Amino acid sequence: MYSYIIMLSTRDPASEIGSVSAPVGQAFAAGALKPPSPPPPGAPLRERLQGLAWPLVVLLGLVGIGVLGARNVSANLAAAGMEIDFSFLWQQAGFDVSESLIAYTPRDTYARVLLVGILNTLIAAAVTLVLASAIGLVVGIAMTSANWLVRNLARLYVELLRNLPKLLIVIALYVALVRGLPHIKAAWIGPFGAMLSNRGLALPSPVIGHGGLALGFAVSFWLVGWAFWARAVKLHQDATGQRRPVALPVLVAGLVLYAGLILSGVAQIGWSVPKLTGFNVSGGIGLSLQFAALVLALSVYHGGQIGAIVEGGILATSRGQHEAALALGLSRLRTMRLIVLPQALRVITPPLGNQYSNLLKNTSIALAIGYSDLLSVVSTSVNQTFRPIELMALVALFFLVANLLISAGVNWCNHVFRIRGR
Amino acid sequence: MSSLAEAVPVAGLPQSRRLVAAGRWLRSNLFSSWWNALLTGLVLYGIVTFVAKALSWGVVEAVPFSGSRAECAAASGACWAFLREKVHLVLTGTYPEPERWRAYLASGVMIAAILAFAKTPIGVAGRAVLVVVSGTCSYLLLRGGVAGLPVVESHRWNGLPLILFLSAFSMAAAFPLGVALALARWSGQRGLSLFAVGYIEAVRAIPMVAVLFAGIFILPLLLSRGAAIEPVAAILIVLTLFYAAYFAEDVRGGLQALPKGQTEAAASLGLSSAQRIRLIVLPQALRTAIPGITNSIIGSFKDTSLVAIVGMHDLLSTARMAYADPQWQAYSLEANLAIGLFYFISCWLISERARRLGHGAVKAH
Repeated sequence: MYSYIIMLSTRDPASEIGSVSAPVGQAFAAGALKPPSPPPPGAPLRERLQGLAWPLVVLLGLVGIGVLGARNVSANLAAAGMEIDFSFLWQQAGFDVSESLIAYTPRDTYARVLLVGILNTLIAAAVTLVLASAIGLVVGIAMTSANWLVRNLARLYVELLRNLPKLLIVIALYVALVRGLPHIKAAWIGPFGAMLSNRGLALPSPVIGHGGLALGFAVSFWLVGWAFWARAVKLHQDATGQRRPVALPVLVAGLVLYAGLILSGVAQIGWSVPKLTGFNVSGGIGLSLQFAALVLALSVYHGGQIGAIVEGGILATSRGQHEAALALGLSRLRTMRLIVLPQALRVITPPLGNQYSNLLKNTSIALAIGYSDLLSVVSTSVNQTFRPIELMALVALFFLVANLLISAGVNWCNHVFRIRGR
Repeated sequence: MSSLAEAVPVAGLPQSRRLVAAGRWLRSNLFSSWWNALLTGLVLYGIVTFVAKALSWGVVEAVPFSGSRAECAAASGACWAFLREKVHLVLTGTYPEPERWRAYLASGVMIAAILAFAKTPIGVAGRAVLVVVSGTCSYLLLRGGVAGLPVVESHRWNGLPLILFLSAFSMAAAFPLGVALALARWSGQRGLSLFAVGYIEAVRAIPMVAVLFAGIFILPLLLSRGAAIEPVAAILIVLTLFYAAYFAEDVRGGLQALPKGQTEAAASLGLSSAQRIRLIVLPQALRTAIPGITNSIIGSFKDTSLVAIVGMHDLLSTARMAYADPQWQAYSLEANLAIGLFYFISCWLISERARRLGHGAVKAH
């Protein structure tokens, strides 16, 4: 008799067209069948469940397991002569990291090494986010291209990455880089003294000689001027319909400011060029091979997934919008930039936020190639201090907070991109 | 997706008309504007160069499976002989050599069980029995200690049997748990739903590597004093708890899509709440959730490789052992390609199976 409900629905043509998950409701709504008894008393299932005893039993069971686990933990810790205590954070860590954004030596505390790990995780995630979004945008647009070859190549890329583990990509890329790039003694020297070897990439970096304050002022002045000019151009366009250039004047103004400061001798900027000293590189800014492999592999991996999301967003934009924009004489590029993508963005935002959260979590596979992210310094710290509960609690706290921030960001974007007025 | 044959019904046309049709297809799909023509040219050039390089590396200059190390050292292409030399190491890792047949037999049992699970109509109870029986069989085969088989410590279960064991049985246990969590969240019973929401959101916020660490470091502390747990078992437990949160989120989508009228109609027919869930709610919710569940299955299968980070020797890690051998150090790419091919085919089979399941479900109505 119970399969009866589902079977009845096959006679209702509406359910053939509509979703398969709505047979009974549609059948009732269409009046296609007479309910065998009067309509339900009104209390939906979820409310009826509240009266049952089993939820209580389940809850009690869970609480019981929790209490038992907590008792075991305290007994185990007591037997080892330990208790939950975070004061080890101020002891000397004593181990080194692969790279750090802040000054760090093995003589610093565990608290500082955790901070180093958090910063390394954040910088890797931030660079990956930008690269993966760029790859995803290109791949997503390519997937909707009118060109058969381009479209199918992009699809192949997405399908391939959907079916490969990210750890495999990271390890394969890292091993290939380590083995494929020359030894540091035979490093490839590029323009401006850039050096590429199997230790990583070293780039020349600007060093402010003097006049840092004046430079800072000049840059802020330039940025504010840019904003004002862009606003003025917008107002002018709204009023008259004519568009004045933005990029060129801003660029020229920047160059003039820079040249003025340097030529007048108010500020001085030098370049630090990487140099080989023994087996190390000094000067410039370094990009370690671990960092490069992690960021590249994760960007390629998430680029494929973001590509699929972007494709979905573009396809969700109605075709009429696209055609109307072309009919108005907008170029394909402008149609994409001004008409299709802004509308697609609304569809894209929620799954994209999900991707960014995954991306942040996935930086933790850095451990496999020796990049000192948060989990890799935590793992070393656990082995040294045997404080797994405290350290894992800190890790959980970090990721929970980061996730909350990402969801808050997504909600904010949803709010900004929402359809206004009507 | 439109292929040449689909786009233009060329069959049955005279030769000249066929050429015209093909020409029209080419123009509209590859050379519709100068920009598209340029793109086509660039992409074609890229593909041709890549394929030529890949063929020369992988076929023309390569040493076949039957080759030797000396030939590999002399050749400029791929060394497939490396894979033949190391096939047992990659597939079974450090499993003791005289007992290796047990690792292969256990893998065979698990693969057969997975196929039977996916392909035969044996119902929920039949599948539960299948999981328990195949789990026990493969565990006993790997572990030994019965029927005169020597005991093999679990840290020597490497490679293929390890990932099959961990991914298959963690997912088999996680799925019902995920359904229960989703139902708890949906039930409207405040305490249960709050617990389910908290659990699902917390687990989904934390990276899997952190969860694996928790399994290795914290799970043993949760046991009563003196009791020990093997790393494989600890990992199996945390993987189950981890994947359950993801399955729960997929099933939740299906539950949300379920019209309210369904449960109301079922109630009006006099079904008990358990009957409603079993016969009306779950069949429809799970069917709607198939795409999400498929993604989670593929994701979980791929992510099981992360156990390598906490020192379990899965396929990635046994492959690393193979090319860590100083004699064969130069051939990491071959090993990684082989592992990639294995994952690609497995994941493709899973999505293909799910796609057919989706079609079948639609057709049944």
